[in-house]
Amino acid sequence: MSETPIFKSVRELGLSIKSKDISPVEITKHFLDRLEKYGPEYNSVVTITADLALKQAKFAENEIVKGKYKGPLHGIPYGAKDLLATSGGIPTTWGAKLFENQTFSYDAAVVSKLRKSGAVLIAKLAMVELAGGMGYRQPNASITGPCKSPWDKNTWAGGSSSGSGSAVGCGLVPFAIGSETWGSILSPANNCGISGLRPTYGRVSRYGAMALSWTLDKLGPLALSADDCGLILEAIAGKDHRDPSSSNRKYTYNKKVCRKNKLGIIKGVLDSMDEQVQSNFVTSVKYLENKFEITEIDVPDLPYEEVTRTIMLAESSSAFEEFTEKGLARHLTAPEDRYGPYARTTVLAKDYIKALRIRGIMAHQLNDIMSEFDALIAPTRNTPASPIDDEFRGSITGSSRDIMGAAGNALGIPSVSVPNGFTPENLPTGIQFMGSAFQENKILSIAADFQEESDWHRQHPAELLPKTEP
Amino acid sequence: MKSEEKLLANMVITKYGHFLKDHEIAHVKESVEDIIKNAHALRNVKLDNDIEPFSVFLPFAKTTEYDSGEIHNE
Repeated sequence: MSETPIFKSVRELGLSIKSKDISPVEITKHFLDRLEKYGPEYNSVVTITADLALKQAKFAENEIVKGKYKGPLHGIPYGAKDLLATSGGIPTTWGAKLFENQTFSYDAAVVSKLRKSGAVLIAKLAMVELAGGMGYRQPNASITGPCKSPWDKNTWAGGSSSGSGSAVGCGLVPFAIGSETWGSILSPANNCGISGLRPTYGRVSRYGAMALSWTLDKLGPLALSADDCGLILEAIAGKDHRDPSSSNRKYTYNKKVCRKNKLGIIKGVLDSMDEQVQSNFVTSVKYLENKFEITEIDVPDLPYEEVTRTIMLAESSSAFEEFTEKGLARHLTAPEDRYGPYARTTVLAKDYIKALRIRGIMAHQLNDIMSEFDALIAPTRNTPASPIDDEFRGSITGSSRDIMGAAGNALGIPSVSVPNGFTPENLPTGIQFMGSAFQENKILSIAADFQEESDWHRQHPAELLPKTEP
Repeated sequence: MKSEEKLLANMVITKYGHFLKDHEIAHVKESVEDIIKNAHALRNVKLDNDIEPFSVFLPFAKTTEYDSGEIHNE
């Protein structure tokens, strides 16, 4: 490969490795340099796993030389959100000072699966402490400080998979794994101008991932394109007996799926959106209208946010019971996280069960509506990246409206976010395509088509572009 | 504060107050109010008696060679 591997898609890098234009070791060294140079500047990295990465890259190189090419991720470096267990003495901090020396004797299932695909673990990436589950309301809620958007260091990368978004957007890793309980993959994808996929609940094993809310937590990829997200999902999906929620359904990435060419927009979803976010979304809709019939739809009047919030609060209260009872929250970074775990101990069992009952009604009614469409579309977030020092209104403990996020996460249905423009301040905005359960290929195919005819995902911050030789 | 909020906030303060500073206790009271407001939105949804929680309980039994039919008692 005569050009730099920085800001090349996983698919492009994979082809270069397969054709031996560049070696996994060369690529890994390029990205290690980038991580060292920019990681601290953007607060996007917790641990650079250089020794392990070079060892894995050499191993991959030997396999490829011997003709044992494993597929598109073979020899490609990646970063993992620092809530995924990694063996070998590599810390897994969960983004919190309290756990800065925490280690595990095993790898998370997703880390094992990526290793089997030949991918190279190059870094553990920054995240909001305890995946934001304690109710943070500011970017500075992490052991590594506020993680910065590649597009403006004075703005936030989004959360809680902040480092996963920022590192991909800065060109420090070709792809990353993040997690989402409510918004934690899509928000950084939006703020960092990259693509992010929240898979169907159960599609990817959660074994070895920090539990925040067992029935809401999902793991998924962040990358430069929707197409890359599909390649990565194929490598990490699958049944795992150690995660009882993992699905038996086999996943093979395939963009050639049968579509109805119909998209839905929930009425009122643009209310209280930032003006520029609305404007970019309207432009995207006009483009999509060339290929799709787009209809405004009503959804049943149900307490979507309240259901998701109640489930999250009750389950996290149990997941962090010992942490709460010992008063360990006082060690967290964000002041609001230090009292966050206590009030939620008052969620009554009957209210939690009621939320689970309404969840079933939501699932059936929304599925009936969604079966008429390939996907529902909406702006990924109602604002572009917020200033790094500003408080924001959170969905988890606050009362902000987010029907797509609340319903999508409560029902465990997939959504992919891709960039769809910039604000006058040069901050990226995103559009999300949310599909029915296990319909990742459908939403990825729509998003990939969108990206084939737009170039938002090919734009990168000027100051982060690799320097070319004079 | 209404009675339910008051009762639950007092419970939190009794159990965890020693971990909290005064200004944090005020925030906890607000959070309890939010949780009750949230609960009321759920309680206002009328459901028939037979609407079950949307999670399936499965009795567990470890699979053995006998279950798989691979070992036969001769």
